[in-house]
Amino acid sequence: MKKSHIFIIVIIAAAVAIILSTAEDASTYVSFSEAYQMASAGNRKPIHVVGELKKDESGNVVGIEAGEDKVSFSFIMIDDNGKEQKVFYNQPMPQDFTRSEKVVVIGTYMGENFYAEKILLKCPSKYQENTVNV
Amino acid sequence: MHYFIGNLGHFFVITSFVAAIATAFSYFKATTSSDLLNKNGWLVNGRAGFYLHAFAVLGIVISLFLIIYNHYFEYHYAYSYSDKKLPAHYLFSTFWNGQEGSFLLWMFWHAVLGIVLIHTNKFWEAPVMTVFAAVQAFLASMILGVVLPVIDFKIGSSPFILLRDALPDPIFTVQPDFIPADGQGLNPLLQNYWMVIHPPTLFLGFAATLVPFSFCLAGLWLKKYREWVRPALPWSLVAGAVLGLGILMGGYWAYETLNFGGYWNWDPVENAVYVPWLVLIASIHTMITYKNSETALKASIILVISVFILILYSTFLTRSGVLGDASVHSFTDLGLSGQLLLYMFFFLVVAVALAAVRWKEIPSSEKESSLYSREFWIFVGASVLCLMGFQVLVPTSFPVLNKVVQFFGGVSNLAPPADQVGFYSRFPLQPGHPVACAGGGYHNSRKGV
Repeated sequence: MKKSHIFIIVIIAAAVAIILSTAEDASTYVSFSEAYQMASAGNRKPIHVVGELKKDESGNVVGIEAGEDKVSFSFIMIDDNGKEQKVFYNQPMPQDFTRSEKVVVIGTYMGENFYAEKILLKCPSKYQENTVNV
Repeated sequence: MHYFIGNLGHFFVITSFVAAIATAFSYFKATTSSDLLNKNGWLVNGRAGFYLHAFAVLGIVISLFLIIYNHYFEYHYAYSYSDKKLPAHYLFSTFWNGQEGSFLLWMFWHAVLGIVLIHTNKFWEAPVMTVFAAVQAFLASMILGVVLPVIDFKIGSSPFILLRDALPDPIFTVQPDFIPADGQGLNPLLQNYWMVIHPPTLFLGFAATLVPFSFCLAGLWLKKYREWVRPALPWSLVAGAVLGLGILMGGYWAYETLNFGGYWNWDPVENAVYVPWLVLIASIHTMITYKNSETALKASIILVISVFILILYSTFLTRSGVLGDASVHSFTDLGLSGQLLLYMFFFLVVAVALAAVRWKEIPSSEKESSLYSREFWIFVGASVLCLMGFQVLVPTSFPVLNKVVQFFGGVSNLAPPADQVGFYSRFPLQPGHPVACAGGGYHNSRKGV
């Protein structure tokens, strides 16, 4: 066997190892009910949930509460299956939060509440409007 | 209403597209024709075509900038990304705030580099410029904004579209000549010094990677397997330096404006440009190895092709909207996914097919490089760099993987690792050791020589 063959085998082995370990660490996009089941089954791995903020008829975001310490807050999010869930976030409200069109929260359930470690916002709102300000 | 400037701009877009196709064809004929007189005729054609193309690109840039600078809010681009309060230097940022403008920036650098190549490298002019002009044709098609009749298929998204055509607001049916008094303004996050200089630097880096790719394809095409490395290497070095600088500037911008408290957040958009840079650095090393000791030619060819394909892949990731749920700052979907895929697969297929056809003829050194040679250790280092890139590429591609699996009817909802910083930095720290060892091995073997 030539040395270059051994080298190629080592490289391929490393690539496979990378894929396997990545699969291990990969998170998933789930709904709140699936996330709840996973957490009840003892799976504490953070997962992604995609959804929107709860809004009233006139389009104002409802359900945002500042935490007692003023540097955390909670909000109500509706996932793609329509399930409402109160989400806690241990940091101040991100800029543009209420303007966001879509929210991705990354975190886990603890009891009945979802704790987000990270929030991704999609806010094309201001920059992708369908009406003109006259 | 200022119709003239928009029509002129759109005319320049179409001119640049047609000129790029004509240039590609002329240079193709110049490369393949054996008759010297014929060849020179096609060369003159190609050169004239490329100059016309470059002139048209400059025309597009100037038209778009005039629209932004003069606050013509009847145009969608000016209305959506600027307002009257914006300081003059941020009007430049407005220029590349939209996808169309950033495509334009990329085309502009290609046009500049193309002219430099025409004047500095007579021997390689025809085949290299064939590739250049083909790339330019694809890029111009992205901002073409033409709807094909009969099948009603839209090609590209023009930056010169009028506001009334872009937005379905009822005011335009009542008052078609309505011009908003002020624009929407530039995204406050982009009103930052780094956003004035980061995109041009990054796109110059992007553009520079096309040069070694073109030389590599030209070398395979003309069967000059050894000769392409010499003119390509300086350009790879330029691309590595400029792209690296552009990435650093982006990191600094993120540090100042996005409040995640770091220079690098392993966001898919950041990863998408980091991976080609790693492979680019690996390719520089194998090319230098080849220049010095005639080994690693095949590896150089594979890596140089990979760099450009990865650049196209990163363009697809950031601009097709596929990263929607995974990234905080990808562009929104303009409906160009099909065109972007076509762009990527065209060059992927051409490059791979050409390399495959010529593979047997590519010279490779007979003797095995010794375990104690510096070539071997540089090669190990380059491989580790590629593996590091691969490790970042896999999770970054999850959204694409999900889409592909769903397309074939399966269920896939993979998300990037929740703790991105932890995940990504754990692994590159480990390959960091082999790279350091490879460097040490190289250093020791050098002393031994």
